[in-house]
Amino acid sequence: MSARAGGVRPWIVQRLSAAYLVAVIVWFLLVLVFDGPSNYSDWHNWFAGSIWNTAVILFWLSVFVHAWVGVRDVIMDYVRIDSLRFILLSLFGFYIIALISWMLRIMILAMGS
Amino acid sequence: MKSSLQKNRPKYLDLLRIKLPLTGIVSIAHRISGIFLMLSLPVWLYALDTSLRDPIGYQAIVHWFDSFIFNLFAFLCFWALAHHFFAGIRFLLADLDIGMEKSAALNMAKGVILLEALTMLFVLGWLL
Repeated sequence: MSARAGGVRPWIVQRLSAAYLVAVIVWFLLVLVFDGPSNYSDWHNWFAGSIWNTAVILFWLSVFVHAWVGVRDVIMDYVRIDSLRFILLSLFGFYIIALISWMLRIMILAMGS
Repeated sequence: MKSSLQKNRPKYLDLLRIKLPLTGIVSIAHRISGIFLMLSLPVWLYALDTSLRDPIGYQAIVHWFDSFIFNLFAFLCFWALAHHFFAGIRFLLADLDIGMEKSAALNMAKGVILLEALTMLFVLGWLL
C-alpha cells in the first residue's frame, strides 16, 4: 500500500477484493480443469446460469476495484509531478469505468438463452 | 563540518547499483505484474465478448491458441497472475503479522518463487 495514499477504506477494499479473487480464481480453475466446456453451447450455457453469471460479474468488479486501488497507489508513489499525476489518474479512471460498462454488457447479453 | 570521507560516501540511489533482497524483488514484481495484468484486461474481455456472442466467435477465440504470439501473451499473463497471486497471499499473511522475522520473510519469498515456478510448469504443459 502506498505511503502517500490516505484512508483505511481503500486498504480494506484492496484486501477484501483480494480475498474474494483468491477464492473465486481457485473455484474457476477447478471447474475449468474438471468440467471445462468443449463447445459453444456448453460455454454459453455456463455463463447463462444465474449463479455463475453473478459470480463472474462479482469477479470482474473485484478485479476492477482491486486494479483501481493498486494502480492508484503506484501512480501516487512514483509520479511526483502534480499535473501528470492528475492526468494519469483521470485516464486510468476512464479506462476502468469503460471496462466495467463493457463487462456488464457482455455479462447481461450472456444471461439470455 | 563534514569530512571529505562523509561527503564522498555513496548513496546508492543508482538503480543499477542497488541490490534488492529477494523479498524486495517479490514485492516490486507484485507491482509490475499488477500493472501488466491491468493492461491485459481489454484483450481478455474481448475474448470473453467474442466467444460468448456466437459459435463462429467461439471458434475464433479457440483458434487464437494456435498462434505463437497469443500463446506467448497468454504465458506472460499467467506468469504475471501466478506471481501476483502467490505474492499477494504472502502480503495478506504479512497483514496478519505472519512471517515478519527476517529469516521467515526470506523463506516465504522463496516459497512464492517455488509455487510460481510449479504453476508455470503446469501452464506450460497446458499451452504446449
